[in-house]
Amino acid sequence: MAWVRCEKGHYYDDERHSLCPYCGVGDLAGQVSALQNEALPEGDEEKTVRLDDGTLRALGGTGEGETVAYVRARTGMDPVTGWLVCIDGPDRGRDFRLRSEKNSIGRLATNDVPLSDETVSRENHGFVVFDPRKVTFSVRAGEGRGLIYKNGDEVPFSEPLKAYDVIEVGQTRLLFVPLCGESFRWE
Amino acid sequence: MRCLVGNGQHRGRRKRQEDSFASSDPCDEAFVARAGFISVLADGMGGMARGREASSLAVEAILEAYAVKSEAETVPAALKRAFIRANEVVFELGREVGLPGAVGTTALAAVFFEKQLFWAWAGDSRLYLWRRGSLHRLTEDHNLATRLEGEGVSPEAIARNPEREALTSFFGFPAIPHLGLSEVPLPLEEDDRILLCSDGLYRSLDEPEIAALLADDPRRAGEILVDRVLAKKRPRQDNVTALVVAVEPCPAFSAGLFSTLAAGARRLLTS
Ligand SMILES: [Zn+2]
Repeated sequence: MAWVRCEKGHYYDDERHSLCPYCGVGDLAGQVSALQNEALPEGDEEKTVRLDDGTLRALGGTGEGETVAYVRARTGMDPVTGWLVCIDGPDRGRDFRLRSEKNSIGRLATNDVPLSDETVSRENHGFVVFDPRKVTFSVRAGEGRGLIYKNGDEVPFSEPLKAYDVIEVGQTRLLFVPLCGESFRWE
Repeated sequence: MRCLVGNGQHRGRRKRQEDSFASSDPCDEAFVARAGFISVLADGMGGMARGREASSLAVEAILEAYAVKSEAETVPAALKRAFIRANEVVFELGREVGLPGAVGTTALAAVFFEKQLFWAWAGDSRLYLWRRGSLHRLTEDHNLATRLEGEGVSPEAIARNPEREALTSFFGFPAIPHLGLSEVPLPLEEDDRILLCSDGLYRSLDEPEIAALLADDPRRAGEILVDRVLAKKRPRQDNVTALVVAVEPCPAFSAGLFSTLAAGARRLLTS
């Protein structure tokens, strides 16, 4: 956990949000430019010094202990692997970091991709999965009744993801932007 | 003394988020030496135009006005000055939009200064102290229910009164109808926690529930409280905001590992 204070005086965990989730999305232009700055690799070099804090994710009941251990054993951290950017819905303009293996999408703050959309399930509405061995992404259906779509088609179990695919949950549309792939991978 | 801060917020089932909040920077040493640490919360009024604007203006104005506190000025004096100034700003907003008196917000501020807690409020946002597992409310709601209680009306009669939640004080009038101020500062003890919350929180969770959740890692407790409110799935859930500040008990706590392990283990045990 890397606890930071945004310039407006809100506190948030910047391992889970690259922008303050409590600041309004009114100033969309400002947020987009901040987002582009954030996407530069420097942001992640900083993370390597925050190693110990990452353990919270593994212990916090998300059951991802092995995930974190696997990536960290190789890279010494749990690095970002890509992003989902909300292009439609209550979180429009906001981005969410993806990490290794299962990234849960849901309404509670404990999800990796926490959305404000009330039509999304509280937990595990769906997952974006990064396979660190194959360096590929996929989108996977969740555990509840809520459906998840890729480019307009329902995902019955799991579908591969490529750059700029659109994932749809509830009233939210999320654009998938990979970092890891053919041109880059964490070593 | 160091503090750990966390916060959580959700729109509930309302169209807009009309709560606002902010905390000062506990790492700003010059500010801490002069003014301590301040957290502010405001709940913009739904039935009124521009609720969000009113609450965010109030929070900003309180922080700004409090920040110029000199060493000579006492904390209660600075808080009072900040509240009076912020009320003027909200009243001005009402005039700008052509609705004087029709734009409103509650306001609540808590200050940690030299191991003491000070607070000020107008409206029904609440401040709680959590000490050794038990919860103590430090504010009285400025609403009709409180007024009727004071007049000796029975709880049953109050519960039947449809106006019971109507506020008797808030920002938006030419002057604040009733400004609540901590009469004497409260000496803080190690591991004390405070909770600032909007009514969306305490109308959905009872005090034992709040007390139990505040035992968690203070940086997470705000989010955890809000998640618990949402889990109740109340059909008309109001905006909900929770801001938690803890007095750090010992340097080991800030090293993070111990508290992180403890909080993680606690969550695993309770889930
Ligand atoms: Zn913010």
